[in-house]
Amino acid sequence: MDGLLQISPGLIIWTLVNFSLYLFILAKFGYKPLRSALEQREQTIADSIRSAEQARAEAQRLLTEADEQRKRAHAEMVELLRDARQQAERIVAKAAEEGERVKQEKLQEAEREIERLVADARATLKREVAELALQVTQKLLAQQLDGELHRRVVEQSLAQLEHTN
Amino acid sequence: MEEAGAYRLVKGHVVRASDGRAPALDLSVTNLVVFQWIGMLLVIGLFFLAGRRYRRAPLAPPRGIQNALEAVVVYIRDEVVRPNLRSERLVRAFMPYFVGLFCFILVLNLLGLLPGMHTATGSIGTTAALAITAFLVINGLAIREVGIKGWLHHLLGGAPVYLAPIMVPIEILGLFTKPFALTVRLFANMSAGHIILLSLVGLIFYFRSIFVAPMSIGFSIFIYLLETLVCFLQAYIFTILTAVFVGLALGDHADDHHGHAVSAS
Amino acid sequence: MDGYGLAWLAAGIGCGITVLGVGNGIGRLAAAALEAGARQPEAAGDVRTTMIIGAALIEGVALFALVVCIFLALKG
Repeated sequence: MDGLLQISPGLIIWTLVNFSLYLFILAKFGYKPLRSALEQREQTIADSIRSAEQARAEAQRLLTEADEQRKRAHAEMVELLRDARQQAERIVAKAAEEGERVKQEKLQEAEREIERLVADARATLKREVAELALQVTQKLLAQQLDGELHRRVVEQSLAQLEHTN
Repeated sequence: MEEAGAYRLVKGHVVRASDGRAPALDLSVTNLVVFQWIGMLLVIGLFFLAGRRYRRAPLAPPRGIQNALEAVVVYIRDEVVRPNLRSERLVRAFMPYFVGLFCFILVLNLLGLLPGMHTATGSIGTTAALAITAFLVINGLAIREVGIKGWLHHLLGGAPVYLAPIMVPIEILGLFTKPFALTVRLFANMSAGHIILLSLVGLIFYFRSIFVAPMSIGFSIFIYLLETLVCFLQAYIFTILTAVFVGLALGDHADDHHGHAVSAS
Repeated sequence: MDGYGLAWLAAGIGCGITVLGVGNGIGRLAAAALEAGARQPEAAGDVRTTMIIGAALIEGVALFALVVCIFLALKG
């Protein structure tokens, strides 16, 4: 127990010398390659992580872009479909309108034709009545008969008129 | 020592042959010095073994001894040095010191556990020398980084100037108690285990009975395992306390100048 | 009882008192650290490191006292 707390200067000096020498050798030759390798490896790992991160971001960007395109295409398609449907409806409506218009025209034409025919018939009738009246008048004037005869001729003419009408 | 030499060995002490008094400076190579050499060679040899592998394939995954050393180095760098030194430049500069300190103490501690060996760190001389290097590193680094003015300002301990008559002596005392505590802690921890082992084994001879042996041996084995833990723990504590003291001596100044370097790492 | 006897007695008693104080101190420290670790398991690593430093500092004070005890004991 005597030497337990004894501080020997020789040991201190030896330890200082040993430790300095040891630290010098260790720092110069032992630790340097380890540190450079560690740093190199850390650098490599950091680089790979960064490049992986970049690749992931790029992929994400591409994916978003593709998704965007798909969405845009879909919207376009929907738009086209709607346009087409509208156009079709418009064409159908136009066709119906056209048909209606043609029908109306035909109807009007037919009406006009009928009116014309009626007018024709009236004109013809008038002409014939006039002619008949003329004939009757001629007959009356030519024969100059009695009242009885007059009446008969007139009745006859009227009957004839009724008949032709 | 030879009888014919200038010095001779009397009862384990080196004395002058002429008048029988102790020499002014005893620089004899004792067994502790030899164990220090063995420890030094062991650590340097291990680092060289690992270094060869690094030169061959720096990017290969570490294996074997390389892996162990790397774990130690990375742990000391990330858990011990970096949180305390803060500036990346200082970490780079002082990593070899801390790694060397840790490995040196650890190897000497563990060598002392081998039968027939002696614990170099179980002697005040060795631990005092290590604490002297710690003292030099703590104060040298503080003076270099914050300047002699800043170092003197630290002696105030953050108190107002009129408290200087009280604070300065206390802080100066603290300057020396820190390495002294390092010295005594390592020495006492390493010696205490050996003294307990010695006492437990000594019980057998004290009682002169073989029946004490099982108890003695059982407890010794327990203490021996505990000491293995203490070896690692004390090496770690010596290193981290040195780093903490360095960080305290640097104060927050290192942060102001080089804070950006830390965030870049 | 002569001076040596007193010195040995003082060494023994001092050693015991030192161990009492240190045991109390480190026990409290460990209890607080365990509690903190249980409350915040993610901070357990930091807490452990700080605890070891604190324990080492307490132990350092104790070792001073024990060195004084050894000095006393070695007077004999």
